[in-house]
Amino acid sequence: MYTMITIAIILIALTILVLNLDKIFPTPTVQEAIKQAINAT
Amino acid sequence: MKETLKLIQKNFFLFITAIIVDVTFFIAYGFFTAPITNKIIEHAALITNKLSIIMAEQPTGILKHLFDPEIQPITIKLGLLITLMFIVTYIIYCIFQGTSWWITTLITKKGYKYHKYLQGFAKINLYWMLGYIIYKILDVIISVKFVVLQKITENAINIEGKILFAGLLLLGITALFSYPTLKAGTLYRTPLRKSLPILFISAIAYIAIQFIIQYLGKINIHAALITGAILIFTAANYIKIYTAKNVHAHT
Repeated sequence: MYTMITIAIILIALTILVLNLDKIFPTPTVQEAIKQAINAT
Repeated sequence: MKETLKLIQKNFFLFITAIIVDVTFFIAYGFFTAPITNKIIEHAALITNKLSIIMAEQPTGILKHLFDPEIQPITIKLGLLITLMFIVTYIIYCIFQGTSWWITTLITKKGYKYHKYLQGFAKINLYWMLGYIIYKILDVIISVKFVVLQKITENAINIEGKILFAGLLLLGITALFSYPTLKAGTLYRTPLRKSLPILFISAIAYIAIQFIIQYLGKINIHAALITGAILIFTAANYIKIYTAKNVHAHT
């Protein structure tokens, strides 16, 4: 029973991590790069 | 072989459950690793773009440029993402494949408790994961060396790459044999008369399934995919049970 609960918690934590990956590792998108280029000129 | 079929017949529900867990493993693996893979590609592309600009001016010392002030933050992030990828793969593999192998040990009456088996499975996979990481690092080094070698001699043969692949295969077989007993050296303690048939059946099953998928693929691609998936998962679990039944249970 405890094993199943531990597995469920690990899987939920991994899901949260994966769904928030953009916030943890942001990379500039094409739109942002264009915006930056416009601002620079 | 007949005894394995009898075991499956007796424990048909468990056999189907093991197959379902295997299928779930691939779905979960895709769900959890695809976003990380995308991030790795994005960061690698960013580094390549910036490196190409720098390398146009200073065409030497590619590794040193990776730690230039403007690239260093992305290089560190890429390193973290690759580490995260290995950790997530390890966790997902241990949870799903550990469960699937535990069901196999239930079918072969090995009598492990679920949490004890998962603990042992996670511990033993640390060795195999380390082996796989070493393989990946060597693979990158050998591939880069081979690309350089190909520029000098066009007909170069990647012998080192082939030796490395043989090493990976040996690692995979050692891991396969270790799961039923949770002992790393099981392959080397199992007599050849028992271990060779396992490898032979695995090779035959792989070749036969490849042949069937290719043949069906020419007629109907959807039929080939569905039949292929059913055959692969069924054969994989049959081989697991056959292996668990025949490995040497040393102490």
